[in-house]
Amino acid sequence: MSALATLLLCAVVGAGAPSRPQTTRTVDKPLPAGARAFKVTHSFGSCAIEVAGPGEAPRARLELVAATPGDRDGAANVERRYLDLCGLEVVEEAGATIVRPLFPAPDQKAAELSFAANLALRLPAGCAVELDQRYGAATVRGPFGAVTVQSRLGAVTVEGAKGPVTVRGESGAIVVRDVAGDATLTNKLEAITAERVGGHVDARTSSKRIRIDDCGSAHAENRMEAIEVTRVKGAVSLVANFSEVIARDVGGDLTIEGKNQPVTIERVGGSLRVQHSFGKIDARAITGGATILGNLSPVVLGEVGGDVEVRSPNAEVRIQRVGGKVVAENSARALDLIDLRGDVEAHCSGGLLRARFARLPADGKAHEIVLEAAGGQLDLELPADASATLELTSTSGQLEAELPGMDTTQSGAARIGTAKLGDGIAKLRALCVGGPLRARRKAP
Amino acid sequence: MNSPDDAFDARIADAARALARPAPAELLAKVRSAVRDADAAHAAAARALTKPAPLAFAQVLAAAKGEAADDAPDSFDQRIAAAARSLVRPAPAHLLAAVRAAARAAPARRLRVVPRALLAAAATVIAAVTLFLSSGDGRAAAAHPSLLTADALAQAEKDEAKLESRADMLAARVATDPGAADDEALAPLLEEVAFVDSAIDECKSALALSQAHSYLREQLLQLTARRVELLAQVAERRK
Repeated sequence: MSALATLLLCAVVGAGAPSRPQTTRTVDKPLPAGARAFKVTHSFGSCAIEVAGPGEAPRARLELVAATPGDRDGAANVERRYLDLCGLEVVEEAGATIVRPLFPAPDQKAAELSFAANLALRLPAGCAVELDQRYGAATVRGPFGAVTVQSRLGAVTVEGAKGPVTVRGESGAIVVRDVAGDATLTNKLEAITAERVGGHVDARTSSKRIRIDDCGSAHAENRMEAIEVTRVKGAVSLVANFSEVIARDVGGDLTIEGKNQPVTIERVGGSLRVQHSFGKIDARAITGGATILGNLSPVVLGEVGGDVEVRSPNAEVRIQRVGGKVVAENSARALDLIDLRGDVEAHCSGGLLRARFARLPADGKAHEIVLEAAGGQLDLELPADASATLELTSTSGQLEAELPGMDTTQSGAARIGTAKLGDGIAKLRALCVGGPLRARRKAP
Repeated sequence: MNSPDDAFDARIADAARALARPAPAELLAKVRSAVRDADAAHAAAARALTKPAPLAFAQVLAAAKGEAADDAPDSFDQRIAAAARSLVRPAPAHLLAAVRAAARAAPARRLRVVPRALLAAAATVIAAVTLFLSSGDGRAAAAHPSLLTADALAQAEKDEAKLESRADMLAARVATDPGAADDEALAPLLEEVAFVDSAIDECKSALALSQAHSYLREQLLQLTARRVELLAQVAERRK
């Protein structure tokens, strides 16, 4: 157990105890009370900008710290001399108050001396803030007007701004919350999170996740990691090469360009358009129409109010419960059509086309249904109370129809069956080229 | 021959000497007082071992472990906690929790030996943390969180070197793969690596001005780890 003591001692000493003391200095400066725009430049430490309290004068506070390694004599003097050369400049320029820490030239610094500078500002509510930040985290918190932050090698957090927010980051996560206006967020190597943004969110990064929740409208682009968009009142457009997409509760139209990774969509108030390849697409509850153009993209599309167009060669496609017209095309895999309620044009090449109808027609109208399977198979299931005129053709003569009143004729190798079910309202033509066609009625 | 108390005190004194300045006398007095009180509780527990009634033994044991607060308000764990609370700042919760968890897990037969060692550990931690956290103005005795201590800097440089060496190994493997540059699927990963390389260069330039800057060191570690991750993905896809 004495080993435990040693271990703990080492952990604590190693984690935080100084090898020698450090030197600190604080520079405090008042800022003009009536200023409405601030431009802040900072580096080598964090920058925190907050709103001054009622009656509190705006001010800037720079906390400096310097240290040199080892126990060299005179280190304190070296550190003190260096920190004394540092300062905080406040000037008026082109209608804005400029705040910037001043560091001595590198040749005035002892090579082994390390330093850091943390800047804190208390500014009036409603003022515009522009921050150029390097090598430290940046935080802008409070009901400011327009906020612009440019950051290199540092995380950025902006909260509570009333005006538009623009953040250009690199190698640091960007978080924007509770913002009334638009948010334009660009990053390179880190994540972007936008929550509760009243206006439009434009978010772009390349290798970490983008998450947008509760905003007016959104556009997002990512390359390597997922985009997750939830609770957007208006339209959303997403570009996601090599990254997963999750979109839920979108009030307006949703457009997605994707590649390689899965796309999951739930509850879209407007219409949906997806262009995708090599990744699975699962889309449900679309109020408007849906267009999905894929390549090697398995598709599941369900509960669509408007018209649907799905084309995805070399992949399984399953479409169910669609109110409008359906145009569907795939190849080499199954094409499943379930409970479609409007017109249908479906073509499956080299695969299995399966169509099942719970009601035919679903709304009493004379819908036209055309099903074609080329070089594959066609399987058709009709409701017991279907009202449809049927024309079923198998060019190879493999027609299995378990339907009452079916007339079959032979034309060369082809076998053609025709029937009128009920009042024959819907027109259904099914053609299977070079393969079997089976049609049956579901038991009542 | 030294008594156990003397050995314990010597260890406390050693730990204090190992730090930048000696532990405050007040702290040592409190720690020693806690030790003596705890010893009394342990002696009671040991005496109880000879009693035939198992219930009485369980009660005393529970009191020593601090699990019967009503019966033994001055039990071992409580006294340690009280000593810690009475200091200027508490020790990090996870360290005390570790010590307490270890104390509770100790088997009863080692009751006389284990708690003292644990107490030594706890006291050492308290002493170290107190010295670590106590600070003045101007020439601060404690490390400012914005700058790494010499030890932490050395550790960070060691970690960076390890990651860099791994990244360089992977980069060499990718560079000698003639097909990697033409592989369309790898293009985004290789672009990503180029971004990371550029950020690492900038980070190193900044660190040349302030080598113990903790935020920059952390960034450099993260970026280098990211570089390793990306290059490993490239290498994996080329298999």
